[in-house]
Amino acid sequence: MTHYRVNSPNVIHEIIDGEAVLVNLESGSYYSIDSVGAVVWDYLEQGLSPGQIVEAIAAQFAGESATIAAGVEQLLAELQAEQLIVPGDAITANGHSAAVNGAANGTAKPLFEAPVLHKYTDMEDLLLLDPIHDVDESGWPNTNPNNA
Amino acid sequence: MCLNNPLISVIIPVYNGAAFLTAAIETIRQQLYEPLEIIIIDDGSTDNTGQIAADLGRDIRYIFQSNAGPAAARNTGLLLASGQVIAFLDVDDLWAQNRLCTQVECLTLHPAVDIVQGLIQDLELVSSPQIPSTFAPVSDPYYSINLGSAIYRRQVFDQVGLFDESLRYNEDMDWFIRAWDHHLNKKQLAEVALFYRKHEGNMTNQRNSKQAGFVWLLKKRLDQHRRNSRLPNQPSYQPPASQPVSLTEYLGWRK
Repeated sequence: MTHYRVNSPNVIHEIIDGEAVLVNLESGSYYSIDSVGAVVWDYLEQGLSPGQIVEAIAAQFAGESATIAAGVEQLLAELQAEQLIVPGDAITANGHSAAVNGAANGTAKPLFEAPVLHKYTDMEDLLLLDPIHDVDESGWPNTNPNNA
Repeated sequence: MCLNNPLISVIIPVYNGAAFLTAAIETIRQQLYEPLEIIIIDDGSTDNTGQIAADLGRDIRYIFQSNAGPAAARNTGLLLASGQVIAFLDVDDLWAQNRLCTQVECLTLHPAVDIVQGLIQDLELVSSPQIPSTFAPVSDPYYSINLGSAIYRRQVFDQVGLFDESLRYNEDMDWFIRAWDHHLNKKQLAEVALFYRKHEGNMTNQRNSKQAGFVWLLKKRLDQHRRNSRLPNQPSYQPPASQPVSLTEYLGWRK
Protein backbone atom coordinates (compact mmCIF):
# COMPACT_ATOMS: atom_id res chain seq x y z
CA MET A 1 0.00 0.00 0.00
CA THR A 2 1.18 3.55 -0.76
CA HIS A 3 3.03 5.43 1.92
CA TYR A 4 2.07 9.00 2.66
CA ARG A 5 3.82 11.96 4.11
CA VAL A 6 2.49 15.29 5.38
CA ASN A 7 2.43 17.78 2.50
CA SER A 8 4.98 20.13 4.05
CA PRO A 9 5.69 22.99 3.74
CA ASN A 10 2.27 23.68 2.19
CA VAL A 11 0.59 22.19 5.22
CA ILE A 12 1.15 23.34 8.79
CA HIS A 13 -0.39 21.37 11.62
CA GLU A 14 -0.54 20.83 15.35
CA ILE A 15 -2.28 18.39 17.63
CA ILE A 16 -3.84 20.41 20.45
CA ASP A 17 -5.98 18.87 23.21
CA GLY A 18 -6.52 15.71 21.19
CA GLU A 19 -7.61 17.62 18.10
CA ALA A 20 -5.46 17.81 14.98
CA VAL A 21 -5.72 21.25 13.36
CA LEU A 22 -4.37 21.25 9.82
CA VAL A 23 -3.87 24.25 7.55
CA ASN A 24 -3.42 24.04 3.80
CA LEU A 25 -1.62 27.26 2.96
CA GLU A 26 -2.04 26.58 -0.77
CA SER A 27 -5.84 26.39 -0.73
CA GLY A 28 -6.51 28.60 2.30
CA SER A 29 -8.65 25.92 3.96
CA TYR A 30 -8.14 24.62 7.45
CA TYR A 31 -9.34 21.38 8.98
CA SER A 32 -9.91 19.63 12.23
CA ILE A 33 -10.04 15.96 13.16
CA ASP A 34 -10.44 14.76 16.70
CA SER A 35 -10.30 11.51 18.61
CA VAL A 36 -9.25 8.59 16.38
CA GLY A 37 -8.46 10.97 13.53
CA ALA A 38 -5.93 12.92 15.59
CA VAL A 39 -4.20 9.66 16.51
CA VAL A 40 -4.08 8.68 12.83
CA TRP A 41 -2.57 12.07 12.01
CA ASP A 42 0.03 11.57 14.72
CA TYR A 43 1.01 8.23 13.16
CA LEU A 44 1.16 9.75 9.67
CA GLU A 45 3.49 12.41 11.02
CA GLN A 46 5.66 9.69 12.49
CA GLY A 47 5.90 8.00 9.10
CA LEU A 48 3.82 4.89 9.69
CA SER A 49 2.51 3.13 6.59
CA PRO A 50 -1.27 2.85 6.15
CA GLY A 51 -1.03 -0.82 7.17
CA GLN A 52 0.87 0.06 10.33
CA ILE A 53 -1.63 2.80 11.14
CA VAL A 54 -4.58 0.40 10.84
CA GLU A 55 -2.74 -2.09 13.03
CA ALA A 56 -1.89 0.51 15.66
CA ILE A 57 -5.43 1.90 15.73
CA ALA A 58 -6.86 -1.61 16.05
CA ALA A 59 -4.54 -2.14 19.03
CA GLN A 60 -5.72 1.07 20.68
CA PHE A 61 -9.45 1.12 19.93
CA ALA A 62 -12.17 -1.48 20.25
CA GLY A 63 -14.00 -2.42 17.04
CA GLU A 64 -14.27 -4.79 14.09
CA SER A 65 -10.99 -4.96 12.16
CA ALA A 66 -12.78 -4.39 8.86
CA THR A 67 -14.60 -1.32 10.24
CA ILE A 68 -11.36 0.12 11.58
CA ALA A 69 -9.50 -0.51 8.32
CA ALA A 70 -12.32 1.06 6.31
CA GLY A 71 -12.53 4.09 8.62
CA VAL A 72 -8.80 4.74 8.53
CA GLU A 73 -8.57 4.26 4.76
CA GLN A 74 -11.49 6.61 4.21
CA LEU A 75 -9.75 9.28 6.27
CA LEU A 76 -6.46 8.80 4.40
CA ALA A 77 -8.32 9.15 1.09
CA GLU A 78 -9.95 12.40 2.27
CA LEU A 79 -6.65 13.76 3.56
CA GLN A 80 -5.07 13.00 0.21
CA ALA A 81 -7.97 14.52 -1.71
CA GLU A 82 -7.50 17.73 0.30
CA GLN A 83 -3.75 17.64 -0.43
CA LEU A 84 -2.94 17.44 3.25
CA ILE A 85 -0.90 14.31 2.65
CA VAL A 86 0.85 13.16 -0.51
CA PRO A 87 2.29 9.82 -1.55
CA GLY A 88 5.87 9.75 -0.35
CA ASP A 89 8.67 7.81 1.18
CA ALA A 90 7.99 6.39 4.57
CA ILE A 91 10.08 7.32 7.53
CA THR A 92 9.61 4.38 9.83
CA ALA A 93 12.22 5.18 12.44
CA ASN A 94 9.71 6.13 15.12
CA GLY A 95 6.83 4.20 13.70
CA HIS A 96 7.09 0.88 15.42
CA SER A 97 7.58 2.28 18.88
CA ALA A 98 4.34 4.23 18.54
CA ALA A 99 2.49 1.14 17.38
CA VAL A 100 3.89 -0.90 20.23
CA ASN A 101 2.98 1.79 22.74
CA GLY A 102 -0.56 1.66 21.50
CA ALA A 103 -0.70 -2.11 21.78
CA ALA A 104 0.91 -2.19 25.20
CA ASN A 105 -1.82 -0.08 26.75
CA GLY A 106 -3.63 -2.50 29.05
CA THR A 107 -6.61 -0.35 30.06
CA ALA A 108 -10.06 -0.76 28.50
CA LYS A 109 -9.94 0.39 24.92
CA PRO A 110 -12.13 3.26 23.83
CA LEU A 111 -14.62 2.43 21.11
CA PHE A 112 -13.51 3.05 17.54
CA GLU A 113 -15.49 5.78 15.83
CA ALA A 114 -14.86 6.52 12.19
CA PRO A 115 -12.87 9.77 12.09
CA VAL A 116 -14.45 12.78 10.42
CA LEU A 117 -12.43 15.46 8.66
CA HIS A 118 -14.06 18.87 9.20
CA LYS A 119 -13.20 21.52 6.64
CA TYR A 120 -13.37 25.31 7.22
CA THR A 121 -12.97 27.99 4.60
CA ASP A 122 -13.91 31.14 6.53
CA MET A 123 -10.31 32.32 6.83
CA GLU A 124 -9.48 31.57 3.21
CA ASP A 125 -8.53 35.00 1.95
CA LEU A 126 -6.37 35.55 5.00
CA LEU A 127 -4.59 32.22 4.77
CA LEU A 128 -3.92 32.62 1.05
CA LEU A 129 -1.86 35.69 1.81
CA ASP A 130 0.77 33.61 3.58
CA PRO A 131 0.19 34.98 7.05
CA ILE A 132 3.08 32.97 8.39
CA HIS A 133 5.40 34.96 6.23
CA ASP A 134 3.75 38.19 7.27
CA VAL A 135 3.68 37.46 10.95
CA ASP A 136 7.41 36.95 10.75
CA GLU A 137 7.57 40.68 10.20
CA SER A 138 5.99 41.40 13.54
CA GLY A 139 8.18 39.54 15.91
CA TRP A 140 8.29 39.84 19.61
CA PRO A 141 11.94 40.36 20.33
CA ASN A 142 12.68 36.88 21.58
CA THR A 143 15.91 37.62 19.85
CA ASN A 144 19.38 37.14 21.00
CA PRO A 145 20.88 40.63 21.24
CA ASN A 146 24.20 39.08 20.22
CA ASN A 147 22.77 38.61 16.75
CA ALA A 148 22.38 42.32 16.25
CA MET B 1 7.10 69.86 18.48
CA CYS B 2 3.34 69.43 18.48
CA LEU B 3 1.22 71.00 21.20
CA ASN B 4 -2.05 70.41 23.10
CA ASN B 5 -1.44 66.74 23.04
CA PRO B 6 -2.94 63.85 24.95
CA LEU B 7 -0.69 61.93 27.31
CA ILE B 8 0.82 58.94 25.51
CA SER B 9 1.93 55.88 27.46
CA VAL B 10 4.69 54.03 25.64
CA ILE B 11 4.93 50.40 26.70
CA ILE B 12 8.20 48.57 26.09
CA PRO B 13 8.15 44.85 26.85
CA VAL B 14 11.69 43.56 27.11
CA TYR B 15 13.25 40.18 27.66
CA ASN B 16 17.04 40.09 27.71
CA GLY B 17 17.17 43.16 25.52
CA ALA B 18 19.80 45.14 27.43
CA ALA B 19 21.81 45.69 24.24
CA PHE B 20 18.89 47.54 22.64
CA LEU B 21 17.28 49.40 25.52
CA THR B 22 19.25 52.65 25.36
CA ALA B 23 18.55 53.03 21.64
CA ALA B 24 14.87 52.27 22.21
CA ILE B 25 14.55 55.05 24.79
CA GLU B 26 16.52 57.39 22.55
CA THR B 27 14.17 56.77 19.60
CA ILE B 28 11.26 57.77 21.86
CA ARG B 29 12.96 60.90 23.17
CA GLN B 30 13.83 62.00 19.66
CA GLN B 31 10.11 62.28 18.99
CA LEU B 32 10.12 65.49 21.06
CA TYR B 33 6.58 64.61 22.06
CA GLU B 34 5.04 65.74 25.31
CA PRO B 35 3.43 64.66 27.54
CA LEU B 36 4.85 61.18 27.50
CA GLU B 37 5.01 58.28 29.95
CA ILE B 38 7.55 55.51 29.30
CA ILE B 39 6.89 52.13 30.92
CA ILE B 40 9.45 49.34 30.62
CA ILE B 41 8.13 45.90 31.50
CA ASP B 42 11.06 43.59 32.11
CA ASP B 43 9.71 40.11 31.42
CA GLY B 44 12.16 38.28 33.68
CA SER B 45 15.42 39.27 31.96
CA THR B 46 18.57 37.58 33.16
CA ASP B 47 20.90 40.11 31.54
CA ASN B 48 21.57 43.62 32.86
CA THR B 49 18.34 45.13 31.49
CA GLY B 50 17.42 46.35 34.99
CA GLN B 51 20.71 48.17 35.52
CA ILE B 52 20.52 49.85 32.13
CA ALA B 53 16.91 50.90 32.77
CA ALA B 54 17.94 52.43 36.12
CA ASP B 55 20.56 54.55 34.35
CA LEU B 56 18.11 55.86 31.75
CA GLY B 57 16.46 58.46 33.93
CA ARG B 58 13.96 58.80 36.72
CA ASP B 59 11.13 59.67 34.38
CA ILE B 60 11.01 56.07 33.19
CA ARG B 61 8.89 53.50 34.98
CA TYR B 62 10.60 50.14 35.20
CA ILE B 63 8.67 47.05 36.27
CA PHE B 64 10.20 43.60 36.64
CA GLN B 65 8.03 40.49 36.48
CA SER B 66 8.69 36.77 36.18
CA ASN B 67 8.95 35.60 32.60
CA ALA B 68 5.41 35.22 31.27
CA GLY B 69 5.72 36.18 27.61
CA PRO B 70 5.12 39.30 25.57
CA ALA B 71 1.33 39.30 25.94
CA ALA B 72 1.54 39.31 29.74
CA ALA B 73 4.26 41.97 29.67
CA ARG B 74 2.17 44.27 27.48
CA ASN B 75 -0.88 43.66 29.67
CA THR B 76 1.05 44.70 32.77
CA GLY B 77 2.02 47.86 30.93
CA LEU B 78 -1.58 48.53 29.93
CA LEU B 79 -2.81 48.13 33.50
CA LEU B 80 -0.24 50.68 34.69
CA ALA B 81 -0.64 53.13 31.83
CA SER B 82 -2.31 56.44 32.61
CA GLY B 83 -2.22 57.86 29.08
CA GLN B 84 -5.28 58.45 26.93
CA VAL B 85 -3.24 57.06 24.06
CA ILE B 86 -1.11 53.91 24.03
CA ALA B 87 1.95 53.12 21.93
CA PHE B 88 4.08 49.97 21.97
CA LEU B 89 7.74 49.67 21.15
CA ASP B 90 9.58 46.37 20.95
CA VAL B 91 12.99 46.96 22.37
CA ASP B 92 14.93 46.15 19.20
CA ASP B 93 12.77 48.30 16.91
CA LEU B 94 13.07 51.99 16.15
CA TRP B 95 10.52 54.71 15.43
CA ALA B 96 10.48 57.13 12.54
CA GLN B 97 11.00 60.76 13.54
CA ASN B 98 7.80 62.60 14.36
CA ARG B 99 5.61 59.55 14.04
CA LEU B 100 3.93 60.21 17.39
CA CYS B 101 2.99 63.76 16.40
CA THR B 102 1.75 62.69 12.98
CA GLN B 103 -0.33 59.84 14.31
CA VAL B 104 -1.74 61.79 17.26
CA GLU B 105 -2.77 64.63 14.94
CA CYS B 106 -4.69 62.09 12.89
CA LEU B 107 -6.34 60.66 16.01
CA THR B 108 -7.29 64.17 17.20
CA LEU B 109 -8.70 65.14 13.81
CA HIS B 110 -10.80 61.98 13.56
CA PRO B 111 -12.67 61.36 16.82
CA ALA B 112 -14.28 58.21 15.38
CA VAL B 113 -10.90 56.60 14.70
CA ASP B 114 -9.66 54.20 17.38
CA ILE B 115 -6.31 53.15 15.97
CA VAL B 116 -3.90 54.97 13.67
CA GLN B 117 -1.48 52.68 11.89
CA GLY B 118 1.66 53.58 9.93
CA LEU B 119 3.94 51.67 7.59
CA ILE B 120 6.72 49.34 8.65
CA GLN B 121 10.15 49.45 7.07
CA ASP B 122 12.23 46.30 7.44
CA LEU B 123 15.92 46.71 8.14
CA GLU B 124 18.50 44.00 7.69
CA LEU B 125 21.98 43.74 9.09
CA VAL B 126 24.59 44.62 6.51
CA SER B 127 28.22 43.98 7.25
CA SER B 128 31.26 44.89 5.24
CA PRO B 129 34.91 45.32 6.13
CA GLN B 130 34.42 49.11 6.02
CA ILE B 131 31.13 49.34 7.88
CA PRO B 132 30.63 46.72 10.57
CA SER B 133 27.07 46.00 11.70
CA THR B 134 24.79 48.50 9.99
CA PHE B 135 21.06 48.02 9.54
CA ALA B 136 19.88 49.01 6.05
CA PRO B 137 16.35 49.14 4.57
CA VAL B 138 15.20 46.08 2.62
CA SER B 139 12.02 45.82 0.53
CA ASP B 140 9.19 48.35 0.42
CA PRO B 141 7.40 49.60 3.54
CA TYR B 142 4.23 47.67 4.29
CA TYR B 143 1.29 47.57 6.70
CA SER B 144 1.13 44.70 9.12
CA ILE B 145 -0.10 43.80 12.53
CA ASN B 146 3.10 44.82 14.28
CA LEU B 147 1.73 46.53 17.38
CA GLY B 148 4.55 49.06 17.32
CA SER B 149 3.42 50.59 14.03
CA ALA B 150 0.18 51.99 15.48
CA ILE B 151 -1.16 54.12 18.32
CA TYR B 152 -4.37 53.23 20.17
CA ARG B 153 -6.98 55.06 22.19
CA ARG B 154 -6.75 53.67 25.72
CA GLN B 155 -10.39 52.59 25.76
CA VAL B 156 -9.98 50.16 22.87
CA PHE B 157 -8.42 47.74 25.34
CA ASP B 158 -11.59 47.94 27.44
CA GLN B 159 -13.66 47.11 24.37
CA VAL B 160 -11.48 44.41 22.82
CA GLY B 161 -9.81 43.19 26.00
CA LEU B 162 -6.17 42.68 26.78
CA PHE B 163 -3.71 40.42 24.96
CA ASP B 164 -4.29 36.69 25.32
CA GLU B 165 -1.56 35.53 27.68
CA SER B 166 -2.05 31.90 26.72
CA LEU B 167 -0.58 32.63 23.30
CA ARG B 168 3.18 32.68 23.08
CA TYR B 169 3.15 33.84 19.49
CA ASN B 170 0.66 35.67 17.30
CA GLU B 171 -0.99 37.41 20.24
CA ASP B 172 -0.80 40.53 18.10
CA MET B 173 -2.72 38.89 15.25
CA ASP B 174 -5.21 37.49 17.74
CA TRP B 175 -5.79 40.97 19.17
CA PHE B 176 -6.23 42.57 15.74
CA ILE B 177 -8.71 39.87 14.70
CA ARG B 178 -10.70 40.63 17.87
CA ALA B 179 -10.43 44.35 17.13
CA TRP B 180 -11.90 43.63 13.70
CA ASP B 181 -14.67 41.56 15.32
CA HIS B 182 -15.46 44.62 17.48
CA HIS B 183 -15.59 46.90 14.43
CA LEU B 184 -12.80 49.09 15.74
CA ASN B 185 -12.04 51.88 13.34
CA LYS B 186 -8.43 51.78 12.19
CA LYS B 187 -6.98 54.42 9.93
CA GLN B 188 -3.82 53.89 7.94
CA LEU B 189 -1.35 56.69 7.36
CA ALA B 190 0.98 56.06 4.44
CA GLU B 191 4.09 57.13 6.29
CA VAL B 192 6.74 54.91 7.81
CA ALA B 193 6.22 54.74 11.57
CA LEU B 194 8.37 51.79 12.53
CA PHE B 195 11.74 50.39 11.58
CA TYR B 196 11.78 46.66 12.17
CA ARG B 197 15.20 45.11 12.55
CA LYS B 198 15.32 41.58 11.20
CA HIS B 199 17.74 39.19 12.79
CA GLU B 200 18.85 36.60 10.28
CA GLY B 201 20.12 34.17 12.88
CA ASN B 202 16.73 33.45 14.42
CA MET B 203 14.28 33.78 11.56
CA THR B 204 13.94 30.05 10.86
CA ASN B 205 13.31 29.06 14.43
CA GLN B 206 10.89 31.89 14.88
CA ARG B 207 9.07 30.90 11.71
CA ASN B 208 8.54 27.36 13.00
CA SER B 209 7.30 28.61 16.35
CA LYS B 210 5.05 31.14 14.65
CA GLN B 211 3.59 28.44 12.43
CA ALA B 212 2.70 26.45 15.52
CA GLY B 213 1.35 29.62 17.11
CA PHE B 214 -0.80 30.34 14.10
CA VAL B 215 -2.35 26.87 14.22
CA TRP B 216 -3.07 27.47 17.93
CA LEU B 217 -4.87 30.65 16.93
CA LEU B 218 -7.14 28.70 14.56
CA LYS B 219 -7.78 26.11 17.26
CA LYS B 220 -8.72 28.92 19.64
CA ARG B 221 -11.17 30.30 17.08
CA LEU B 222 -12.70 26.86 16.52
CA ASP B 223 -13.17 26.45 20.28
CA GLN B 224 -14.79 29.90 20.48
CA HIS B 225 -17.13 29.05 17.63
CA ARG B 226 -18.02 25.76 19.36
CA ARG B 227 -18.87 27.59 22.58
CA ASN B 228 -21.15 29.85 20.56
CA SER B 229 -22.49 26.81 18.67
CA ARG B 230 -21.75 28.39 15.33
CA LEU B 231 -19.00 26.54 13.54
CA PRO B 232 -18.04 28.17 10.25
CA ASN B 233 -18.78 25.00 8.26
CA GLN B 234 -22.30 24.49 9.64
CA PRO B 235 -25.41 25.52 7.68
CA SER B 236 -26.49 27.60 10.70
CA TYR B 237 -23.29 29.64 10.59
CA GLN B 238 -23.85 33.37 10.24
CA PRO B 239 -20.80 35.40 9.33
CA PRO B 240 -20.23 38.42 11.58
CA ALA B 241 -22.41 41.46 10.85
CA SER B 242 -21.28 43.32 7.78
CA GLN B 243 -17.85 44.81 8.22
CA PRO B 244 -16.68 48.01 6.57
CA VAL B 245 -13.47 46.25 5.49
CA SER B 246 -12.45 42.62 5.11
CA LEU B 247 -10.31 41.04 7.80
CA THR B 248 -7.47 40.77 5.33
CA GLU B 249 -7.60 44.47 4.59
CA TYR B 250 -7.92 45.23 8.28
CA LEU B 251 -4.75 43.33 9.08
CA GLY B 252 -3.03 45.26 6.33
CA TRP B 253 -2.57 42.36 3.94
CA ARG B 254 -3.46 42.85 0.33
CA LYS B 255 -2.87 40.63 -2.63
